[in-house]
Amino acid sequence: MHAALRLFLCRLVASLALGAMAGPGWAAPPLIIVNSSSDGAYAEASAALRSQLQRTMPWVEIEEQGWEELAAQRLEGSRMIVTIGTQAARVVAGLSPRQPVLHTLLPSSAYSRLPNMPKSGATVSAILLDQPAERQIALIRLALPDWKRIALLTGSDSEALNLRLGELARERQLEVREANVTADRDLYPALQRVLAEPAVLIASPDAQVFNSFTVQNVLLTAYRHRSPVVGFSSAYVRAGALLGLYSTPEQIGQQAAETVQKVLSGETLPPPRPPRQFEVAVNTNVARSLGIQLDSAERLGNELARREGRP
Amino acid sequence: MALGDAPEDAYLGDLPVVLSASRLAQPTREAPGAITVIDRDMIRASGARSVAELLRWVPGFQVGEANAFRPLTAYHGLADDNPRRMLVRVDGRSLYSPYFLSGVEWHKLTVDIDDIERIEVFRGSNATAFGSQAFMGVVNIITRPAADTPGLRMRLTQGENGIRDRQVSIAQQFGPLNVRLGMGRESDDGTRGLEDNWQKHRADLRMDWQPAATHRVEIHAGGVRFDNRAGTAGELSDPPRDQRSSSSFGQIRWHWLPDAQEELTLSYLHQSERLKDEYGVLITSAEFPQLPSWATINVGVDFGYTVERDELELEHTFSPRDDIRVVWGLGQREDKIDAPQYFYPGKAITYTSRRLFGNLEWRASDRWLINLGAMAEEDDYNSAQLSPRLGINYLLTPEHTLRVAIGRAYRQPFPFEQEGDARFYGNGVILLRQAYQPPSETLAPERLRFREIGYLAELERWRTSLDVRVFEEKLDRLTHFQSNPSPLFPPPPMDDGEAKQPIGNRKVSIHGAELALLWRPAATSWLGLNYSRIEISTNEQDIQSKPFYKNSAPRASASVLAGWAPWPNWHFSVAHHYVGAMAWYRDEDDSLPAYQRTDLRVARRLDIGTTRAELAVTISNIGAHHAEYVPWIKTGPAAYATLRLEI
Repeated sequence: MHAALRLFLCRLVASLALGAMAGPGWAAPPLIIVNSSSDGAYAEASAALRSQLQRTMPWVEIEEQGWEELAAQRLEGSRMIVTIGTQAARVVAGLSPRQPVLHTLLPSSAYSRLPNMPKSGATVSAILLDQPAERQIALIRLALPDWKRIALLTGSDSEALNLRLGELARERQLEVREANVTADRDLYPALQRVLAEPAVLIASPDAQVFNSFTVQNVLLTAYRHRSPVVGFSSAYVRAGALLGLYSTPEQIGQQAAETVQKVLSGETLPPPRPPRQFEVAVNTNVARSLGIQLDSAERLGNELARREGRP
Repeated sequence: MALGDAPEDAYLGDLPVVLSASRLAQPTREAPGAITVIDRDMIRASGARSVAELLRWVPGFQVGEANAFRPLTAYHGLADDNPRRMLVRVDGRSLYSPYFLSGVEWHKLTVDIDDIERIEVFRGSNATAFGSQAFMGVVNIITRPAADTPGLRMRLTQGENGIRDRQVSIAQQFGPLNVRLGMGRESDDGTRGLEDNWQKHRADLRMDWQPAATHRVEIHAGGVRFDNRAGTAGELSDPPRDQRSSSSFGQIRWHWLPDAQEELTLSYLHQSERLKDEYGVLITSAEFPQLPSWATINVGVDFGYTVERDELELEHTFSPRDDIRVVWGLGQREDKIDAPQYFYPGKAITYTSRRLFGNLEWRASDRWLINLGAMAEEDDYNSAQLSPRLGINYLLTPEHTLRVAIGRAYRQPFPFEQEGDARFYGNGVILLRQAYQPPSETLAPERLRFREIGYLAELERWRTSLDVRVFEEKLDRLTHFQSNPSPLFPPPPMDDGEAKQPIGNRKVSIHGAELALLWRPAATSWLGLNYSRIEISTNEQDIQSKPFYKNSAPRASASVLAGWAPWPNWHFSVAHHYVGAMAWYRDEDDSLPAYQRTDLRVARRLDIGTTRAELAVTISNIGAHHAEYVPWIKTGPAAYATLRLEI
């Protein structure tokens, strides 16, 4: 009872104060979430974002809207907009709002193609789904220290990432086998080429190369060449990748909440970032079958986080 | 399917379980027995034209050739010209034929050797997993999924002795459906001195369909038409003639994969086999002295048969706890055999067998792995028999494994053993000869009790593995055909009125050791050494019979296998085998002296753009002509060239 009353008073004070700063539309809530969908991963990200803010800034009023009926006037008066998913990001970007916008739960390839992107990144930023190349290479070195060769398949959406992965791998004295895949029929010969000798194949979220139709070819061929695959989602590990490195919608929602907190406290929007928190997953069946000794996913994840300077 | 329109679906969407339990090879260190794996690099480097030849690479196996198209394969001997105590499976489908003396019919394999992913040979009885046919061992041939196949592959082989093989395979993906179709024609001129030139036409289809993330459907279909010469020049009852056989099958396997730990597979198979082999024999007083010199008798012979097989199997793998994995299943097989010459008075036989099996794998700790399994199998002749096995694997370190296994297995005698009755009539009415008579009472299943100790070292740093197996196999109630007076009255005039009759009274004890050492610094480079020692003792002297079983395996045999790529795009492979003296379960004068043979292959890669080409020359059986089956059939070197194109 007391808590509820306190919360109400907090919100009242906050909305008066913030509303006064925001000008005429003081009734609009300070934070608007525009979601691509009301279920699945999108709902998880939104729930994590809200519950985190609830704990740290309980006075901030949040309104969630679907992208379908979104119009410019519905965004007016808010201090910040967070989008979840590419669909919502596209609609919001199309409206070119003046307030800071944080796009979340979208890959960098989709982010870079959003319309009306401002020249300077001061008002638009993102928390991307892509794991940084540094983290991927660090995981391979940590989990598979005896493996000295990596394999990369590059399509048009993975050129930049694979270039970076290749550079980093070579810096770490890893041999790099690469092949380009520009059409479906390139995939089989490309896999044969890069896996001629066993290598750690790093799957990239490039739909041209790695999608739900090619996942069979990739995993079966790699397995036959006794080559482990590092995937970018938990589904990849379940499907047969040896290792997975990914961030959950919940982790992204939490990170978004932290950014929102900073912006609403007056800080400027940071540049687009990869997810800070992540998960490591291990397919123990595949590890056993390939005769690879692996640490547990939990230990690998903790050690990786420790090396990135987090507890 | 998981892939929607949103770019983030790649990260967030679902995917099918691709490397499910049935697709993952069991690590050899965790198997409840000794396993030899021959992978694709080795298969290709061997230059072998048939899979049976590759079993020379496996310690403990005997490979002979009854003729140019009928290889004989046995593990630890006890074979004849119809080895029937081991099983060969192709993607779960048995290559074991149920008519006449049964056994494995290699020449009816529809899959091309290039479409084989790997061959897993379980050395030792595996009736616990696969039933009666896997009495002494099992060879599992696993074909490549359609997705892991080049779009177009062609292979041409041309060589001495009329060797002419043509193979083509195409693969195509249609969204969630992967299809591979292979066709081929193979032939050669057969063995010098034998009527056995042959020609094979085959087609093989595999479809992998992923209708949803948790379902996968495999469809296999294939057919073989086989034309060959048969018979022996100058042999009245087995005259030189043409034979035509065919075999076709369709199989559907549905896999349900709710998660990476659980898999349910339901398979249905239908298979038809057919042989046309009908001829007449004209008998005169020269062959049959009772006949007046002016008379002749015509004997109509029809060894033809048709067999229709239907088989249904359910298999379920799951993990009730992290440290336990359970596989269980049940199956039924029905063979409708219509082979009038073998089953007097020509009635068609329906033979049904049913099985229920299970295996529990318990990872008791990081070091201890326990496998406990059993198979209960019954057929129309005998009630259910339980074939259990206990295997305990102990990891001394992750690289060194000790294994003990103990168990019992049964082999159900098949219809011809239980009720085979082959009679030959002159002019359709006069009984001349009874070649086979049924047993006096239903034969009990053959029994095998085995125990073994194994040691496996997998030295990752040295790229070396060492596999040692010491075994003891005690068999009893072994069926053997023995000439006995025919029960018919009046007795048939030919063959002194005797007819072969199966009797299940042989006891055999086999013990020995097998060693396989393999250094494999790269996928295409290896140096391997196999050695096996097999001692067979029998009760044959006690029952005053010829020692058929005693010499059915060589006491010692050894192989040296090498593959290496001395320069880029070149590959050399050599296999040298020593096989000690043995006999394929016939009379004493069928004994073979020890022999050696060498197979050599040199290959050159020639890549043109994205087209991968390879030209290889294989010389098989280098060295002096020698006998590998019976002393009077000697074979020698044959050279052939193979051009392979993959686009």
